[in-house]
Amino acid sequence: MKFDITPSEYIDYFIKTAKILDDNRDYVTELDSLLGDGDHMVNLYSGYVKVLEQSDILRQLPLSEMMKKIGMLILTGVGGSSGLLYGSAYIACAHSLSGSTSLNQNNFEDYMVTMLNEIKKRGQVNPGDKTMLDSLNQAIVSYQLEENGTLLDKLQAFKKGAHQGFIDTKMMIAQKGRGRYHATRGIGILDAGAMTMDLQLENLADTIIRKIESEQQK
Amino acid sequence: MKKVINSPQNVVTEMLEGIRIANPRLSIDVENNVVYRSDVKSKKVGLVCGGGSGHEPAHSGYVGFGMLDAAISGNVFASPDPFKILSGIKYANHDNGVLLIVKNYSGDVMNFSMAADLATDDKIETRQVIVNDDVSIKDIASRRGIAGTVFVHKIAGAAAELGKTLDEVEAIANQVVKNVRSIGFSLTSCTIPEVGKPIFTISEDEVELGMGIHGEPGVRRTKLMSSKDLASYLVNEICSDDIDYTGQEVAVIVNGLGGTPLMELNIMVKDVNDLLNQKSMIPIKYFVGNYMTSLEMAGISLSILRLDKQLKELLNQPCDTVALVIGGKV
Repeated sequence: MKFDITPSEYIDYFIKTAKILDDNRDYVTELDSLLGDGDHMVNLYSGYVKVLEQSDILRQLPLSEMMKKIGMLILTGVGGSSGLLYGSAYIACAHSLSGSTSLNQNNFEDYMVTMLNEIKKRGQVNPGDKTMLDSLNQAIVSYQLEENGTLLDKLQAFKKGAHQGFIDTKMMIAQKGRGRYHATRGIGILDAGAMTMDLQLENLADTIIRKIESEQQK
Repeated sequence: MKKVINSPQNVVTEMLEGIRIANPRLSIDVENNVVYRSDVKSKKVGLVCGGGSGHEPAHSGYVGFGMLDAAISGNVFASPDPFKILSGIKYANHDNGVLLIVKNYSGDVMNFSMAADLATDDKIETRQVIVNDDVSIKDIASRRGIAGTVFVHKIAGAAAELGKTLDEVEAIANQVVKNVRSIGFSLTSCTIPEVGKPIFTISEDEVELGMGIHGEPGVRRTKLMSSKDLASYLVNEICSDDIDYTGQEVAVIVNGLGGTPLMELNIMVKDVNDLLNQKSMIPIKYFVGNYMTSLEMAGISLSILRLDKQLKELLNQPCDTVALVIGGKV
């Protein structure tokens, strides 16, 4: 069982994710208004718009260069915490993917772990801090725990983990970002940054699962 | 949402264009959201500050003689990105190092730190001073930077203008941070143009004590009190922190958050002054007005700086910026 996500297919994933984020705009903003100042979705989405504006050029680039360009567009187009964290994560992945022509079963785990480590390092953030990292971390841990399963099992576990990591932020006390000023009063509220991370990761897993299934039917 | 704007996406750019027209002596890089001085002839240490927009006149209003060399604006309430900050650092660089004045928010700290790394790659020496004057947060590491930051601009700015080295300006900036404490309260919410609705709700008869300048929750929400009672809350919170102000000369900022008229700010000045006298403090200067706002939020923050000989001398030095002019002895 294997898959190959080419740069052009990665951009297709990005376009689909932008649509999913937009569909969830009001709910994410509502969550963010409870713990932050309600602009997380506006900021993150503006980064997606910057990437989509360049989609035709990005499709033509080698994978690593495409990741670097996406990272720079998000880093310079979003601002705030999420712009820096997502932007740096993509740029770090550009390094880890240099030499690969596609995102595939051999480099996928390393790709996600690189993102995780970069966000940890740049944000000085750990699992349990009630941030975007909780969804990403749980997705990767679940993927790794499914070591005896098929690639599809692992990706399903990844998806479930991403969502569970988001749900788990509900009972956490925020340690980073504006949420931390709510301290224990934030318990019971889901983290908006973890939700947008979950939406992106679940769609990434779905994109890969569809790709594997279409390969199997050939 | 009721705002005098053209499009929510363009508020920062259009604001900067207006600032450029109204203040011909300031230079503006609209692409990078940087307001900077281009009249610096000396090799002074550069001073840079920045952060989300929506706190005007902070920080672009403090660019000019005796204060900042460059200010970088992000989107409303969101830090500018590291590359924009790097452009600001380059404008502020006069070959003797650049001090970055950073308010203690996750986004600002991350973006300024990365910008400092980028500046190092470009062979520009930088230092960072983190401002965390808001005593409403008990955990020191989480304390936010609010209006006390203006004292850092003023005093470190004077030190740089006098030709002090990067080490010295950094030490003086940290001295200000060590001696200034602030806290505020809010009566109303505010609306980020791109979001379109208020960032929180608060009843007509309530006040949130200790609220931050982005609507971050404060210490508690209570029934609206008189100016005297609010003054007493603010002064007591500041004085019960770790600085002993007794018998000391102090400088005070009574800062409006954007929606509170000068009439009310001056009533607060009187009430604060009575309390400072009771506590044997010697206020030598009041700054009264909108120094660091939160869009149209109604509310006030109080900042008290304990002065020593050096800080007082530097505070007395002249400065000439859009938002603060001091021409001789204050």
